[in-house]
Amino acid sequence: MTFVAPDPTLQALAPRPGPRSKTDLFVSFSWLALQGFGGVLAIVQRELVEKKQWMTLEEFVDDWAVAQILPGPNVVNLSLMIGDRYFGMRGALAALAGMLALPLVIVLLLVVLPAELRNCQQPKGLCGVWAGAVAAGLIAATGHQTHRGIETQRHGADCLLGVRHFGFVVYWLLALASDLGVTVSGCPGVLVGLSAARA
Amino acid sequence: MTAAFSGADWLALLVHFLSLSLLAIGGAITTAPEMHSYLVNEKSWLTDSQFTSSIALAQAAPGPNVLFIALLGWTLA
Repeated sequence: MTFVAPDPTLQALAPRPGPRSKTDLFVSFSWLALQGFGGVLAIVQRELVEKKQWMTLEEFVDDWAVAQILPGPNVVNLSLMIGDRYFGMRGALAALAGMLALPLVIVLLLVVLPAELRNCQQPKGLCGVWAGAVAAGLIAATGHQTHRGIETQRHGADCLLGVRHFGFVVYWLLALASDLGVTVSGCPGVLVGLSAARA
Repeated sequence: MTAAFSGADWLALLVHFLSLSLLAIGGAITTAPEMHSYLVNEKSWLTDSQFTSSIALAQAAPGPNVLFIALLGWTLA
């Protein structure tokens, strides 16, 4: 069976899914941004092209090329371009706000929380638990995002196993070297992170 | 963060970063070395470790890495 490439003109004219409103743009881009640990571009491609099918891969690559070449952060340019295409200037701003607003709140929280924890007035163990929870959240989220990519590699499963065992070794070394409070509070954090890496 | 961070300083920061954004072809991270030399070396508003931890934190958190610039501003204030 020969492969017949889809006619781009017909494809462009066919009705296709798109954002329903500016709110939809904002929510979609917020959701994209929140999944993007270490850079949103791959997530944007997966969501917009494969899941939502707002554009084809070729169109996405074209848009991305333009966004990359123009000055400024490429995800900012990309969200402005895509938002503007559907809803004009307000759509562009809605998409941009979606991309930046929630991650901004999260990243500022991550800066403020450790500073607050240093001045923590509560019993030392509780502060440690709180700090462990924040760290565990970050480790778990990053592990969750990266494990899928690693697993599909040829020796991916072995790498993950190695990481898991290495993590245990490091944890026990730290536990031996430090306070009991840190040990108790760090335990769930490490376990969450490692189970995310294994899952 | 040194004391005496006046409105004029904020304006200088804004203008400098605005002009820097026009040069940010290929992502905001390409301007990071220039930001570093401006904030850490030239003006001494941040220490080297503060700058690096801003970038690291923005990488670890969800969302675009460009938010490290927001973290830089937050640390300055």
